[in-house]
Amino acid sequence: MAVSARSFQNWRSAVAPGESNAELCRRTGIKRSTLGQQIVRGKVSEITVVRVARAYGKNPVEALSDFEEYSDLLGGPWRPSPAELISQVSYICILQVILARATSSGAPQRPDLDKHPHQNAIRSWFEAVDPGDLRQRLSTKTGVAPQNISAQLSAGRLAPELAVEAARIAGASLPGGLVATKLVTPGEAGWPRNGQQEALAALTDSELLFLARDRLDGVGKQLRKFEHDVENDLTLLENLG
Amino acid sequence: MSITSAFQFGALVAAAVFTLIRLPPAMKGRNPVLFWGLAATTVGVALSIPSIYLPVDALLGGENRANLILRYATYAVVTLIGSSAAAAFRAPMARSMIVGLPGLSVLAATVIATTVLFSMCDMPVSSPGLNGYMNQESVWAYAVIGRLYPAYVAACLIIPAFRVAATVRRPVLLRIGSALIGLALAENLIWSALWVTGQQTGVWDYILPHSSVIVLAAGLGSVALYGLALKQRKKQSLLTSNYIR
Repeated sequence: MAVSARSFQNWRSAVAPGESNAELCRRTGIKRSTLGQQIVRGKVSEITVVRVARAYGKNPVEALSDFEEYSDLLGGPWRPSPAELISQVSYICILQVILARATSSGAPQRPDLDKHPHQNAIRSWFEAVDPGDLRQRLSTKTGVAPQNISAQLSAGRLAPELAVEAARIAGASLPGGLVATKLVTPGEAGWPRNGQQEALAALTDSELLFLARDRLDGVGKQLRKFEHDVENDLTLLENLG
Repeated sequence: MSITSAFQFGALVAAAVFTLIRLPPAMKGRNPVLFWGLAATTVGVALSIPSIYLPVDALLGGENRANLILRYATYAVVTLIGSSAAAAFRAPMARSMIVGLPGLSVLAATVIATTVLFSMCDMPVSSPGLNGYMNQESVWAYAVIGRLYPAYVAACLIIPAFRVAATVRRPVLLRIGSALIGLALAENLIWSALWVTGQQTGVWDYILPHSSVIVLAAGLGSVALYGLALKQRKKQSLLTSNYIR
């Protein structure tokens, strides 16, 4: 679930020599009780490493690669595939590209990716790199039950070591899963600037439309489930509220 | 004030306040069933308090007819609120067991048995809870039936209530409300089970039923709070929100 407290302490004395816990917390905005607890328990979470690295001007991906669990993070493939890049684009931006192409009279517009972040980027990424049996193999390799993996993906998260292990199994870019879980930014992972826009632009019209269809299908299913929940809540309210 | 009467009057205040709160919306036609359920609760709780029971019974002739009214009020409470709750939790099975043909058959049998047994009892002097007459077989049977029916309705609803409470993606206030309602039902069921099996529970014989009214009111309050919060929220398309992943 995390890196060991001992290696964290070694690492931080190199990154932030002589900084006390209090100073570290003030600079990173981590709660002192949180950090203290992680150190006492012997497990320091990846997000703590990332925040310390950012606060002291170090690249978070490089910082994680200083730890045994993630030592191959920089060594393996890091260049994301077009499918990975596109998996991080929200359906709204995909529709914007379609509209821009279908109605364009001038230069094609670039979708504003930051304005419409992908809400469940990790599931899209997982599906994009999945060679077909990723859940099974990830489960066998890590001992985490497949239904647990599915539950994490449905909730829009995935433990960092699972994300990296999934990338290793799938042969995808190793930091890709960390980008998709929003632990690190695409820039920090060394993803090319405008890579997502370029990958979108490289899709043919039909590819783009089928991509949109698949995404809308997923979104629609999710929304239907949510509408059903809302309906249930209103029924409860009507009868007992 | 003893702990018993604290719970009794606490329950009375909770029931009365909620009845009054529900009156204006009920007059506008919003959920009158809940209002009548709460009104019956108030009557039932009031009559279970000796200092109210005795004068009321004196007015009715001093032959414990007030206890019969208390029974009818209890049946009304569990039927009305039970049917609302079953609908609220989307539990068609439970609903049919309460107000469907099976449910109404059970209710009719209970009401008839209660009335018949009451007429067989010989209780010339007012006695709160009929405690002075429990050695009469017909009184005991009358008291057992009066507890069995609420326990039956509670048993129908406990699982649906806790199912809602356990659903993580439902709103917190609704989950708390459902859990409290479930807790009130469980208290009622435990109380009836203890009483019918003849366990001596002492002070719990008063605390369980009355605290269940308070807990039920708190549960309804939680649901109502969710309703208020929902009203304040601006209506917007689900597509603009963060629900889509």
